[in-house]
Amino acid sequence: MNFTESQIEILAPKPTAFKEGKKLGNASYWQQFGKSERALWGIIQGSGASPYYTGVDFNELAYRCTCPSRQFPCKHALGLMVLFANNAKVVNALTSEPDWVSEWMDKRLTKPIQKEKSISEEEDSSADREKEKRLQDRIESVDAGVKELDLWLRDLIRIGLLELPSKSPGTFEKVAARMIDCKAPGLAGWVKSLGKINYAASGGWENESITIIGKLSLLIKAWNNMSNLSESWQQTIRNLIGWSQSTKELMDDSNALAIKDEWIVLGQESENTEDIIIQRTWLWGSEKGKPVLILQFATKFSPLQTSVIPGTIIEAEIAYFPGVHPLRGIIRKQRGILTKWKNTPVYDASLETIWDKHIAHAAIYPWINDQPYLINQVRIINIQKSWQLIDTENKMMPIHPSFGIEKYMQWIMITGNAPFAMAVVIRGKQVLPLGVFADQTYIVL
Amino acid sequence: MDDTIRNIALIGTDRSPLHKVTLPEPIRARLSDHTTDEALILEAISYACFSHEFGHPLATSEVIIDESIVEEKLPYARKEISELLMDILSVAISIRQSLLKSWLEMMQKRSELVLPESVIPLIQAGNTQPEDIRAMIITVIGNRGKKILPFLPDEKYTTSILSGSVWLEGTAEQRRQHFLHIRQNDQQKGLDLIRENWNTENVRDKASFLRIIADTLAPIDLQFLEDLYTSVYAGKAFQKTTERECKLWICHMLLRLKYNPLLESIRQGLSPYVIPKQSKSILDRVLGRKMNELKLPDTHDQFWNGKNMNELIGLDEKNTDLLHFDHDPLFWLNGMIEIIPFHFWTELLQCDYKQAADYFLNNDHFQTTVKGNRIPIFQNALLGICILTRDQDLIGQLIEMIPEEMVIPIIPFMKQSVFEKYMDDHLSAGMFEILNKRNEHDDHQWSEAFTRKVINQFSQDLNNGKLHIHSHHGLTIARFGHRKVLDILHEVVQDQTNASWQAQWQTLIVEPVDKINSIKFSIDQFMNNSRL
Repeated sequence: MNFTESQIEILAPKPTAFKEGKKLGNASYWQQFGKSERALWGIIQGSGASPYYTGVDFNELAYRCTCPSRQFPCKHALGLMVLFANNAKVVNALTSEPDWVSEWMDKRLTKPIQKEKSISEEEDSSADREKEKRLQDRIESVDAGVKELDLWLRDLIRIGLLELPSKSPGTFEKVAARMIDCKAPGLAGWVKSLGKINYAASGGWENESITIIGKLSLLIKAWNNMSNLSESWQQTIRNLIGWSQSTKELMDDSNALAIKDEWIVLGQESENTEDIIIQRTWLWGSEKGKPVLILQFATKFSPLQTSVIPGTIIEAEIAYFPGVHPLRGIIRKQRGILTKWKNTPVYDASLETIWDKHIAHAAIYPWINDQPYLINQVRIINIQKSWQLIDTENKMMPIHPSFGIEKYMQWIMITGNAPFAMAVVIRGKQVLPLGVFADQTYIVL
Repeated sequence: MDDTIRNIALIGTDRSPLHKVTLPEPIRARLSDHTTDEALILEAISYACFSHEFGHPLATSEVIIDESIVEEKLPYARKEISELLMDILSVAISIRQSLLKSWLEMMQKRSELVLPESVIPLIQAGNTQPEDIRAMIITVIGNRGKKILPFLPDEKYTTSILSGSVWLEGTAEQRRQHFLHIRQNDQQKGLDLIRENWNTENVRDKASFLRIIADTLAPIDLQFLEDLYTSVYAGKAFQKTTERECKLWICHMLLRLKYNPLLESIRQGLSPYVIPKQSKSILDRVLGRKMNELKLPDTHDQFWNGKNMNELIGLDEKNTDLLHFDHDPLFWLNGMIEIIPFHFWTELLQCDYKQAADYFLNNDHFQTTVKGNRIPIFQNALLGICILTRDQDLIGQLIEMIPEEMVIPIIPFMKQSVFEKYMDDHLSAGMFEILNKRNEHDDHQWSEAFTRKVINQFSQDLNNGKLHIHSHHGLTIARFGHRKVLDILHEVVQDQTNASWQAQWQTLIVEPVDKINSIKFSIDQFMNNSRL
């Protein structure tokens, strides 16, 4: 394990927690500390009478601490990690684990085996019937919603989209709420995004609204054509409509597509929408060359649990949710965090290559978005106040507006304006740079 | 996106009925049979969007790409130095500028660059700082840091500063700041710069540059000023205010540099009006101590007339302040007091500073009555010359003779010893207002004894309820306090039994002082030990 301070900062539940933890990253605070091949531990005197016992499992990023803090990881766990990050020479010699650490780590390795509930055939078929009925009910409900939405879209087209700016936000919210009632939250999301367009800004809203309506209309058409689609297409459409995907089922599904690899954590992005935080993390299998998107959701009552840190390499098995273009997945099993990859990732040679690949993906899955690619020898330039990614053949793609000046600063600091291999995602017609491959390492922007 | 489809979608099928034949062939061929135009358009939009998003080749850049590799020659500073910067940026604004300036000076002395992650916060902090600090920031962000400046939304760091051509291309204010920065760091370099383009400068800028030269005046400036004076200004009258302003500045500086021809012509001009003063003191008469005084005419004469005053040192030809100056010669004498170093008057009047200051302030001929109040008409001129020349002898006399509220303008210019002596009589609940008039960057740190006096007075005022404790008190103590200030603060708290008082003292005074002191200490450490 070789975390940097900035990586540890990402793990902190809030900035103040990291600041407090960092203060404890000094050996003088710790009565004892040590490191094995799988864990860090330390004993620190806190405000209580007894000292706190703190441990970090750095293979699967898990923490324990006997302190009463509800923050997770607590400042002691963060401090312990900072201690090892900043004092590599002094404290990084491997030692044997004390009993309390071994017990905790061994317990983590032995996953509890859930007792299989014995189910009779009768109960089984009854559960199936209920499940089938629930599915039918939902299909009927979604059907009704889709019909209403289709009608609403036709009305929009009849009166003309130039009327959109004069519509109140409530109009869109009302339609979105109706889609939620019809158990189609995916459709509600599209409608909401139509309502969130900045209609006051001159230029741009017309194409933006038409694009959303075009994709939504295509989805409605696909739903109406469900009976003629393959199972994997049906699953894909259901996901887009808003069927939730069960992580637990995927974890246990031995038939699901699963890949073992050394995964480079390319980047992470959090989006805050209506009290829900959506965290997207992109990984790239360095040997097999396959990307994966890990989605995590959090509310103010259930914070995000970061299990992967951008810029690190994890040895793991990833399972993919089924679909015509599998991208979203979960970490089924994580074996450890590596300092270097064994297989240097293969980069595409030019922007045209990744664009061709992207078009090929879009031909399979027209709603494709946020697809990661690795590309060699590109640099970031600014043309007429617009950021562009440009390759050695002078082909360029506009960079997504979320790429700010801070990231350009990082990029220029790493590269000095020289072309380097980079990880990007294609979002709409733009690219979002995630990081730079330099000197056999990957640096996140 | 296809225009036909886009236009129908925007205008609506009610107003723009669909003619299928007008749709592009590739889309038309894929459309299903629909019962309504709207359904048909919706399907067409889906295809058009797909084509719009994915059906285009990538753009090729037609501009020349900057492929230059940006290298750094200087090493990066260690992490602790960047962290110190972040601490500085978190302190109150009133003290941030001074600490930031010290930190930048330290970085320049070490010839190091700030770490990349601190570059943007540093640049942003510079947005609210004066130009000279921004110029210092540019030197520590390195070439890579400079590369991002043109893309910042705020245009405080203009391209002219970046390219180093601010002197040729910058605004008047940027050029003024640039010149000030150079003069403060290298007077000769500044002089060379101004001399090079002097004739092409407009008169307004000339006046502003002369003001800067006056603030940073050095003997090396004499030749330049003498050349200017003799070639352009000597013996000439100017009607434009800005031209006269330039002449006044030049004369003021020449007089400070003891430029004899000008001194002599003023002395000779005034000599007919210098007469021995009849002393009322018997002791003076017995000891034969004689002081001169000025006997001015009530009307214009060969010397006291507008044309001569303009030609001599650039004074206004008309008395523009009849309220204070009953006669024109008084108006012109005021103008002279404003620009002529005070020792000239002590020599002319053959007296010491105290007598000369007393003469100009208290002589019956130099008083006027405004709204029933008797006002010394040369008071402002005397304060003005104090500020221009930082004449500590004159300041020392004036603070004894003029009302407290009139002293305030000269407080920033007092030597620390003079200031502390003055404050001995002004330690009170209102003292923080006066203390904050000082500038901690101008060697205005309090002595240990004075720090103790201020803190004792402060704690007494708190105890007596004359003051409410506030964080700005802590900041003032932190700005100016002696390096032993923390010990003194701890001594005060030991005498207190009130827990709430102690807690507030700790939070609002001790902690900010401790934080700022430790920042100052760290800056000093890094400044004085390049190995750290």
